[in-house]
Amino acid sequence: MPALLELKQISKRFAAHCAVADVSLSIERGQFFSLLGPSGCGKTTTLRIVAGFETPTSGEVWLNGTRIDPLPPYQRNVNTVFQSYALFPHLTVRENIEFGLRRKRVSGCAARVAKVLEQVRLTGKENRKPNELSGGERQRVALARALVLEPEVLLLDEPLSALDPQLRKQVRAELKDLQRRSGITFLLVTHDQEEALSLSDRMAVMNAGVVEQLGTPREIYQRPKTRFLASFLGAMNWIGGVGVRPECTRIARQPNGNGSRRGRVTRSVFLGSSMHVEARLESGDMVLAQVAASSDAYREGETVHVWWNSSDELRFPD
Amino acid sequence: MLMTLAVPSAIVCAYSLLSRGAYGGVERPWTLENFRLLADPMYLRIFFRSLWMAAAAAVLCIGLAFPLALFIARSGRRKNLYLSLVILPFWTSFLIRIYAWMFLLRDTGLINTVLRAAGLIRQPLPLLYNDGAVLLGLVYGFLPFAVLPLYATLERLDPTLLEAAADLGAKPLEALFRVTVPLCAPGIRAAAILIFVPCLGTYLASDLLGGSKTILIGNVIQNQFTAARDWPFGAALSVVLMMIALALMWAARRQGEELV
Repeated sequence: MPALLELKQISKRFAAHCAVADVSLSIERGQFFSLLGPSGCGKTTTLRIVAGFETPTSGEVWLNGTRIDPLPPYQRNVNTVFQSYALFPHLTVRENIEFGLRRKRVSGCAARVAKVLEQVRLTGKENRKPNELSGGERQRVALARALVLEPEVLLLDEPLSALDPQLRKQVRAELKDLQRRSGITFLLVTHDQEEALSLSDRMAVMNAGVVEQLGTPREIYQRPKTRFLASFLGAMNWIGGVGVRPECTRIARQPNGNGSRRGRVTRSVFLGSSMHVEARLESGDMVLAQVAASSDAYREGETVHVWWNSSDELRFPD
Repeated sequence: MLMTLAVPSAIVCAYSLLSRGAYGGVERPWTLENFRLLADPMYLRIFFRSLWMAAAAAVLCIGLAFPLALFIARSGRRKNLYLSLVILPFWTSFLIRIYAWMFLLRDTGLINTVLRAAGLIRQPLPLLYNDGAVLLGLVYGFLPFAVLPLYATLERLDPTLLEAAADLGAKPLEALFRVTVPLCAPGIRAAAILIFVPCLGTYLASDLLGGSKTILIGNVIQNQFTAARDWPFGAALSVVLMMIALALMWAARRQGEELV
């Protein structure tokens, strides 16, 4: 099956700075795809190139077999949920949602608005202005305004970042649900690895304008291709040039055969469902072990032994 | 504030209720006669004409200033240069600038001379001493009062809203009329008041550019205080003018509150 959205060797230069360098991606219909990376990595610029707010310096964007990079935003069948939501403050919730339908002269406007309002649980708030809504409600209006147009691809630019952490987890689940039910292809930009890992069917991790790795969240987390990815996604212990995840690191008061290393506990933190034990090894390396909450409590300064399975080691060429 | 605003207004109000002195000035007794005189259809016509002129000037100024303000707001680092160019004419007196327009517009002025030399016209075009010339003078003089408040609101407009409009399928003109213009309502209202109110009482532009045919209420008032030496009637005209201006400002404010 050919890809629905395809980016072919996209580059974007701003004066001397290269924001996006030779990025190629292909996203299939119905996928939840994430672009993950630290701030300034080029992920938002890539999204803006797909939306049409930026013109790539070189490269092509194809949507459903049509080249769209020369088209203005209003001729592209993609819609954006902005980080700041960008709701029109002078229009009501209904008028905001109708805005796109009216521009595209879609018939059966009222029924579609009613349907999408129900989808995002905003029925009854049609006549409010954006400044009369909570942050979560505004976010849902932004989502409804884009979804109602049934775009080929829905672009989401850090849609959860303005919400408080408690709400974020709930909205994250709703977002995934909405994507499954609508069948619309989602392209999400985020700097939150947990968000990307939990939502995506496939994802790309970007750094300094390039895609470092492309794959399923599991592949990238378990088999990161670069040192940057290993450190950026989840926590990582670096011991003698080898990477080991804290959840793969074992710790005990007794040595475990010849493979274990000795160290002293520097900190022990109880997290409810698990416990974090931090120790300084004799080699000087700091190591973090994530162990079950039911395991023994360690005191600071206590001597411990640390080991791991060699199959859990991650090695990177320098 | 009290000294500079309230005291002169109070004096004007008091004068409007007194009788006319033989050689200018005011005398007792107190009377409402001055306001009764205003009902004369001639004065009503002049009032109406002044209202119309001021409204036309405000509409034209805003219509011309909007694209200019939009251009300035979007011109990045050159904004300050363009803004100072807009304010530059204020360095010269309005009177002198009106004289400059007379030199441009009169029968032997620059425009007619050039057009005649180019063979485009035989007879000079009647550019001066009509309503059009007065309106031109007003629009020219008050354009900066529209540019500045419009620029201030456009400058603060979140550019993401225009991206959102384009994203939802709005062509640039649709985005302008559906998003930019409605969100500029406070600036448009401010500009309308800043232009309408002083234009309503103007006398310089109509006096110099309008000749004897275009009499506005400002000219009548000026005349009462000078040639006609009827200070109380001039004061009464001024009071009515103030009331109209206040009523309009109050209405504009109320409308603004409703929108918020």
